[in-house]
Amino acid sequence: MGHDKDHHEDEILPHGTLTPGKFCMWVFLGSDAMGFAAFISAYIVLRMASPQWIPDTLPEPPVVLTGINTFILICSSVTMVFAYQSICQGKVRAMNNWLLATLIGGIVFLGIQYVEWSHLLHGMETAEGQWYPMTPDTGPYAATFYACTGYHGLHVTVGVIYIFVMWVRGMLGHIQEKDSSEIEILGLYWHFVDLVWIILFTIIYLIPAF
Amino acid sequence: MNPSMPSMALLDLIFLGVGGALLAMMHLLVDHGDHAPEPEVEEEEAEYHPHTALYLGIFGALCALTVVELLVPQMFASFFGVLVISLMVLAFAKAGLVGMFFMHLKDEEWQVYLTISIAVVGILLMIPYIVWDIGVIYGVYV
Repeated sequence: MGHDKDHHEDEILPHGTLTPGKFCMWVFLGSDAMGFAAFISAYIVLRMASPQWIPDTLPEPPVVLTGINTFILICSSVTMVFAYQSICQGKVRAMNNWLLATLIGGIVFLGIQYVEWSHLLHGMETAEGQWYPMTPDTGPYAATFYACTGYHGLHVTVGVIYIFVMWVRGMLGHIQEKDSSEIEILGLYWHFVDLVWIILFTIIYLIPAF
Repeated sequence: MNPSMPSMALLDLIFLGVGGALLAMMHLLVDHGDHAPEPEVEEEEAEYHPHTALYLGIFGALCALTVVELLVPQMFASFFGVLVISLMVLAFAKAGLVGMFFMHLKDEEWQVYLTISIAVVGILLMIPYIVWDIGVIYGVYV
């Protein structure tokens, strides 16, 4: 692992080689997973301790809209893996196109999250026809909802910036087949974001209040 | 004093030790000096073989599992325990597909599995403390 000083800079390492950067990304993802585990644990404990998790004055989370959002994030994960596959085959233009598709998917995801948060913060119509705003200080349900989805949204935002930077570098011709590891590292981060959202979506949106 | 504070301090020491071990391992794994030339990789091994059909198949499986996830609450609305278990199994199945195939975990080396294992151990140690801490704060546990 690592690069010997005698290696030529243009040498293409076998695809999937465990480079120091890739290993460090895995270490980072391990630590990040602990952060998400902390948020999810707090959510579960507070929920189990609450006699009525979602107050009658607040609407339940929008499952259909978020389900569409989940599908968009899964699609962006697929385009990300195709971007890596393209650069492994030396197809730089295809990689740029797939990265652009991933970037668009991430931006759309953030946009839908923004719409969802806006509706919740300004008030949504409940079954009784009343509009009640849900702010982070409304109660434990609202606080943990915004904490979990906000923490994930922050990761998606960072990921979008990361993808944009790599896309620009690709467009400028700074990424070639020998640099496939850089795209793989980016892919690890983006797939992790998708993986965490799959868990969050299930726990926060799909498991109904009881 | 919060009764969980000494145990939290112990947990912090454990994580510092784990972090130090990881840093030491990284230091050993990074190349600092001369070593014997690495064996040349055969051209067939170095050539990348696309997995388009596989990735599309995984994508289809993820979509199908997502649809099932949306239907499960309608099917098991009256059986909360079955509902929770079903949804969690589906969620971890999807997460496993993403991890194994999109993150190429199935092809990774032992160092990556060691890193993930350390994180999993850390999470398993951390969750009981969080549950205990929040339970004490909210008066769930006396």
